Amino acid sequence: MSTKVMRGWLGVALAAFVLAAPARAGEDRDVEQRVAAEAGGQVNVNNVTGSVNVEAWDKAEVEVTGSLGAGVERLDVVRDGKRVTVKVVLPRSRSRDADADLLVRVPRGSSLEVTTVSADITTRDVAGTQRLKSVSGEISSHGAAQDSEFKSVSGDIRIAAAAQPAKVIAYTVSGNITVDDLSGALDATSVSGDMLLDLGNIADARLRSTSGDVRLGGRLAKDARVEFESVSGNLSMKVAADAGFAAEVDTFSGTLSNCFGVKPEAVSKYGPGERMALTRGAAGAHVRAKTMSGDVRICDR
Amino acid sequence: MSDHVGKLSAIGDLRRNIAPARDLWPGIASAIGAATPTVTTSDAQPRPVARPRWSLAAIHPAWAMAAAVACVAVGVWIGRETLPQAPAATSSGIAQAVSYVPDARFERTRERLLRDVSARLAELRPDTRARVEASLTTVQRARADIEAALGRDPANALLQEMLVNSYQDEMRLLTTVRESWVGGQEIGT
Repeated sequence: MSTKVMRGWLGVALAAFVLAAPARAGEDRDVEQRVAAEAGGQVNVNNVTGSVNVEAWDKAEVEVTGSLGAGVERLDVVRDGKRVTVKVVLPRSRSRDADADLLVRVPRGSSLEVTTVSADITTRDVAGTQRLKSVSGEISSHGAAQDSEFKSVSGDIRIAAAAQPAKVIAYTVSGNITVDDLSGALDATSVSGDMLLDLGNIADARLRSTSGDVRLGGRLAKDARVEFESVSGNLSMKVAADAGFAAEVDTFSGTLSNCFGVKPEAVSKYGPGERMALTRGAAGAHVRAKTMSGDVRICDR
Repeated sequence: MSDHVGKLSAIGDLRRNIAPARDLWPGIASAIGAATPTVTTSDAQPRPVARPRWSLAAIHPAWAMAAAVACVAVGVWIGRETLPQAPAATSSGIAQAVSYVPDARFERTRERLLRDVSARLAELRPDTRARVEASLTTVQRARADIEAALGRDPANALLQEMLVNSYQDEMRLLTTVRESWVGGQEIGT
């Protein structure tokens, strides 16, 4: 074999090696780590991109399984007293594949704090307080039982089946908020996203939007209070209330309507603005709604 | 009438330099002395001015923001109280230009937040950035709409309340974006 041919084969081999290097470095790797944890301790999870799924279980330990992208430096799972911190660490110079998909199992009574940039967050049956924050990831919580706060810039927020009366704060700038079967108290705010709320037996609801529409359904508890305010978003409310409800609605230039044949009245003889006051049953719950140009429609189930 | 004139004339004739039956000043002076704390020689030295335990620089931004929003609310309330109670709408359809100027500190805080956020937006993914910018525009446009509506009906309490709330909405949006970015930077490194 001539030197020229040998050099050719050597070049091909070298090129193959160089080309294969990124593929070897780009492989995801699986992780599995466990630490002991207190039943009512605090668990913090930080991840940038990918996903974070948190499930409650009846063991006194935190388990983290999943996969890390090639661009992830490492996964830290550290216990410090009552606090367990799960942190996806990226190198200073960010690489492209920084995804980390994590399944985190925590003691059922844990308090939980999850922060992500674009990673989606899902929690299930965590009985302690929850604080979930993301920039653009979607937040989904099932079975929140204690005070919880969900905050996203552009991601959607979904809350389902709060097992016990819980106080929930949901804030999103441009994402949508969906609530299914929530009892207790809800404080929901969206700038431009819509809200689709099916409340189980709500006692206190404060809803604010700038331009997003709100569809509110479910059941109002006796003495429940519902407050809604929007600039240009519409409110469509269709609720059941065993103890009845009284509603008072004001708008500057929106349209007010209801299913009970009550006609709105002009606020002023000379200027714009309408007001609608109506009462159903024993007026056990109270509804207050205000809009500038948004429409409001109130019905019962 | 003649009696009245006579009395006035008699009063004018009274002596003006009648001395009191007893000198009241010593009693007054002792009463003043009793009310004033005794100044000892050491106390007479100039005391260093007690500095408050906080300073402007130490105020938490959230408190400053809350104070600023409160100032806006007070400003709007004052504006509402002092603005002429114009008719709800003029038949000619001419709208009065109404603008509530926020407190200077509020404006400074807002400007700083806007600068921070606009710098941070560049760090976000393009789709997220576009959505946040659209929402910011939505809030600012909503406030412009409220102000325009207030121009037509300056005494409308509903609109005034919404105007104040629109400032709060914008501040909350800005702080949320800024906090999220800070969190995003911290969690990965």
